[in-house]
Amino acid sequence: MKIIKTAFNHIRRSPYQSFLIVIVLAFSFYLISSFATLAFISQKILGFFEAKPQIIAYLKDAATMEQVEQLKTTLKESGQTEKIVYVSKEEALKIYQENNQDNPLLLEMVTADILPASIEISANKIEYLKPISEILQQEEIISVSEGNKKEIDFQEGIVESLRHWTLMVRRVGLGVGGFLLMEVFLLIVVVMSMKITLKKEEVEILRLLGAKAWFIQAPFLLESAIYGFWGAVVGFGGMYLTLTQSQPLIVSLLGEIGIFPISSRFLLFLLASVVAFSSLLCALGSLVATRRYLK
Amino acid sequence: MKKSLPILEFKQVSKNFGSQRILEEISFKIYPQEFVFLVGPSGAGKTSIFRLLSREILPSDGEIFFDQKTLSDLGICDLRRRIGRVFQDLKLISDRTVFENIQIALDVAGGYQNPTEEIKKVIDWVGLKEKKHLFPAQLAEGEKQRVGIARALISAPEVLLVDEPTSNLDSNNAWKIIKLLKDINKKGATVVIATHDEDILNSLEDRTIILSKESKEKDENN
Repeated sequence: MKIIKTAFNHIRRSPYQSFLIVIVLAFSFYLISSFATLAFISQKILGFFEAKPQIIAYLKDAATMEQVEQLKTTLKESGQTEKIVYVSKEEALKIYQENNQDNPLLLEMVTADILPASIEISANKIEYLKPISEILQQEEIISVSEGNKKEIDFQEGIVESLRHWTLMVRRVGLGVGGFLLMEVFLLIVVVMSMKITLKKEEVEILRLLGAKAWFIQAPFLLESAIYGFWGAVVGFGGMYLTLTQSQPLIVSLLGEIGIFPISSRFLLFLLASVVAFSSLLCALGSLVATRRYLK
Repeated sequence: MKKSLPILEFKQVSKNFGSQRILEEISFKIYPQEFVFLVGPSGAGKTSIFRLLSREILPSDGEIFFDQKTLSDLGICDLRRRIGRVFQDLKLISDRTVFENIQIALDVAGGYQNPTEEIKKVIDWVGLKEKKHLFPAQLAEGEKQRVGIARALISAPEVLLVDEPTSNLDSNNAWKIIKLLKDINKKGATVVIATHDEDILNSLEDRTIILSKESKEKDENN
């Protein structure tokens, strides 16, 4: 109880210094929370593309259901596919109609006859896309375009490039985060060294009265942990505000990729993590500063 | 007055600061509940003896015993809680009130059921009831001395070391402080006062340990 009171007295007696520390910490944890959220969003975007059929092969009108079933079996036996879906001409028309509801002219012009049936395949791993496409190339029932090429669409490029960007976001986030955490740690070491030096007289008296090192250190540790707590809360709050304010812009950019609402479980986990980590890091910085002084 | 076993004992203690010898082969014993003056001119080593007793500095030679144990066998924090000190420069915290300055010693000692009551009792006893919310700068020298004594007393030490308690006081206030220290001694604490105040020494018949400039002690009334 006494330690808590002393820690709050330290903060109260140097309000501008305390405010400045919280602001610097808040800025650092704003950036750290933002990178974590960006990594979460990019993972979600990647997941969206990964969940989509990665290969679509269009079938000749003459293809029979037996031939389709045989193709499905061949693909399943390769062990490289996760999901295989046959889309009939009628189903293709339905999808087309859903996608073009607001354009009646286009709806009138298209009938099930002119749309090809297709087979949509999701691979277990991105590197299986090529072998699967090679199997399809051998199949007679796959439609052929004017240039004598089989009509097979696959989005290896998009997913690969998304993976690359997600990895980049994580790496940059880790780099920037690591730098910011080091900056926070050093800031606390410097500020708490200054604070304990200013309390030189009091520390000397406490030692002469028989105070243990822990009794002297504890209020400084708690004071730093309080800075860490508020820095992380304000930083996270700033990130959340930015995220909610920029929601319309993100939605318009990402279109059908559903990012919002962002999982409250993720947000709570992020808040708890930054608060705990920040408080511990600041307390550790303070421990280093006070130990150095008391030595 | 002498009891069977001394509470403090210096055995052939010397202390050097660099090439300068401050104390040379000092030996004396102080028994529980004694009231002792440690006398000597400035630079004779009175304060050094107090600093050695609270292990602020270590002896160059010889051994010091507290309660039959060498100081090195006692934990430094425990030792400092058992020996109360009133410093010559008082060492009061300037941005804390009288009450808070005394409370700090109780916080360090810990384990008190009703600390506020304990502090109030000591403040009343040293006569600072009306001034407990004042800061050191708002007090007279004699009052500051009382705060120092109250802070040393609050954790009920077995020995009270008082360094030059009358040096900045007029005769009237000096006697009030000596009377207060006598009362503390009557309540059971061993009191050791470092002083060079001739008036007080000539008027009291308590035991006196005299330190000369040559750093050799001479025990009187013992």
